[in-house]
Amino acid sequence: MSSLGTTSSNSPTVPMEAPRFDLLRVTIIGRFLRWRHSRTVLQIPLLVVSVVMILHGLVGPTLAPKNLATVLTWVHFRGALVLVLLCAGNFFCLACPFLFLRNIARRVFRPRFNWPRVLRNKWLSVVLFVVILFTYELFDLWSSPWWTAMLAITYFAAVLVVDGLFKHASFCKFVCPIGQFNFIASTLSPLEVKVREAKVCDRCTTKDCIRGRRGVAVEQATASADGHTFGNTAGLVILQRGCELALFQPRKVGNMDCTFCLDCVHACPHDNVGVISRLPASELMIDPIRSGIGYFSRRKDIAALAIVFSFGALLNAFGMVSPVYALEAWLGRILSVSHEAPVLGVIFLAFLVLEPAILLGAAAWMTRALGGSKSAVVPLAVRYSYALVPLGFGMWLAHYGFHFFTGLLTIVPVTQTALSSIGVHLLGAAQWTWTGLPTRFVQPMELGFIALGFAGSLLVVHHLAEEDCASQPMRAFLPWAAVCVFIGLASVWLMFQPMEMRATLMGG
Amino acid sequence: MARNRLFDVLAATLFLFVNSQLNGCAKSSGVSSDVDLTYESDPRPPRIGVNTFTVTLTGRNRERVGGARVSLEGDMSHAGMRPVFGEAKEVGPGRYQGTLDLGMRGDWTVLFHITLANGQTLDREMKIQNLQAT
Repeated sequence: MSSLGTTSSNSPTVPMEAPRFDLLRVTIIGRFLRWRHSRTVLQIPLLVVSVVMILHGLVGPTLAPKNLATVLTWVHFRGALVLVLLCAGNFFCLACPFLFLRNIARRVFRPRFNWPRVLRNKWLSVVLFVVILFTYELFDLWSSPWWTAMLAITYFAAVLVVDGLFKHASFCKFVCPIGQFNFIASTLSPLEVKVREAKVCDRCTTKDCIRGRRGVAVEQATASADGHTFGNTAGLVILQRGCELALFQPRKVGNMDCTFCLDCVHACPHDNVGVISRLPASELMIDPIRSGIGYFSRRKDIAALAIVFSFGALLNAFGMVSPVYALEAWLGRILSVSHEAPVLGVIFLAFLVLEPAILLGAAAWMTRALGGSKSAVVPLAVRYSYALVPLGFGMWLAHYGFHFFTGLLTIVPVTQTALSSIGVHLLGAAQWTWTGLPTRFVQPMELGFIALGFAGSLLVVHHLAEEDCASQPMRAFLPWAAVCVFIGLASVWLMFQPMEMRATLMGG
Repeated sequence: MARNRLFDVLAATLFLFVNSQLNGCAKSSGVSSDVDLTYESDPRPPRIGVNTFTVTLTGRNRERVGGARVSLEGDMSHAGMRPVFGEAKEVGPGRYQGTLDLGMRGDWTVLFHITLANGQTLDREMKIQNLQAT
């Protein structure tokens, strides 16, 4: 049913449209994903793992390398997350255990409110994203099973409170920092949930993909994934949800805000929604109006998310190399403080506000001055900020990939120890020598990820420059390419710094 | 009914929180009241590379406790990092010496796993903050 190079009348022209692969057409995987309970089946194991992780974090060993909470969260989950985003799409949100619990809770608690209009943007989630990065450094979450478990508990509680009070997927769209990370990173994923044939949607009159299906069959509704009535005036129950994140499939562009929940797939009466291949980052090169989002170029909040995502990648890695401690000690002396929080605050301000403002501001100004772009500096900076996402993702991949590949097998002895503490002995003595790939094998992979991100950013910048300054694209391209080179070199420099894992920044 | 369930969830969370505060952070080192353990490192403080750790076991009457098996383990503070292991040999009455190669800057925890001649086991940990090359 899928065809080559098909574009919707409402869709923009996507550069370099490739022959399309549809995951839902793959024999076993596709059949499983089209099954309406597939999400629940994926969520349950993750929920079980989360509960085990939380319990072990609270009552298990206090040493991070020996606790399932810290090992699973900071080694395996993060690494697997970015690799799946790179190779496929936002499948973590699909299998999100927090949402499984929410769906159960919504059988009891009926959300009554609409999310406040003033908060219908990404600002709150950007702030929360920064808060998580900040607390990660301040409380050394990576070294504390207890705090890691508390973070997971807080997350579950937040989901229940927000989605217990507010309708639709308010938590996912407007609050969840992990979700925002996934949304922005999935703009680089090779798969996208989108319509197969635009013409089919043109003929559709029910729009079930966004509205869902309602009916009077109470038993069926109870058995559905979300049995609350959602306050519809006819007293009908929801048989199948439409998109809770307000993404109308025929006008949906890219992966931003898409949780891959596949509600639209299940809802579409024409079987016209697939999980379809596309050129990664292609959605960053275009600026059409996007369903549920609007124009990227007019969304300062999403641009801020892209900036925090990109520069936060460097900051997060910077927190684990030797120079950060010298910098903190120096700042501590300058500020005459002995507590870490104000020093970290200054570093965060420098990395996430000042540095982006200077780099993006200067590049935007030069784009105007050299390239003759008619846009003002701020709109230009907003537009091009999305081009930094591939570089940022390259750095996240390099960082999280390092921990994932070098610590891949540590889950074995940690699980053995956890099981032996409850009297279950597997595979003999704990295999503490099992770790993962040697650093010498992982470092070239890290460089590869950064190079991939660098190439992706240059590609996006070049495409934007061609659109902005058709007559002299190189003049618009060069300032932004210089920014990419700067960030790329900073990333490589970071990768070659000696690692230093300290929970005591100021004291030492 | 909904309110009651919410209360149950909050109460359970609070219970877990308090319970973990009371138990999770009070991991016993397993040191027997009959045996005292002291340790030292060479160099002091420890540095990146091979460090020698000396453990001295003394009994209730200040007598040295010999014949024990002492193994050493070094763990970094980050999950997923390879631990290092070593065995200590008895170099004098109740004095055990072994080495660990601490290969990376940062915070380490050195664990002393001790099995006394009577089969009793003890554990003690030594925190090393900010391990540096020099």
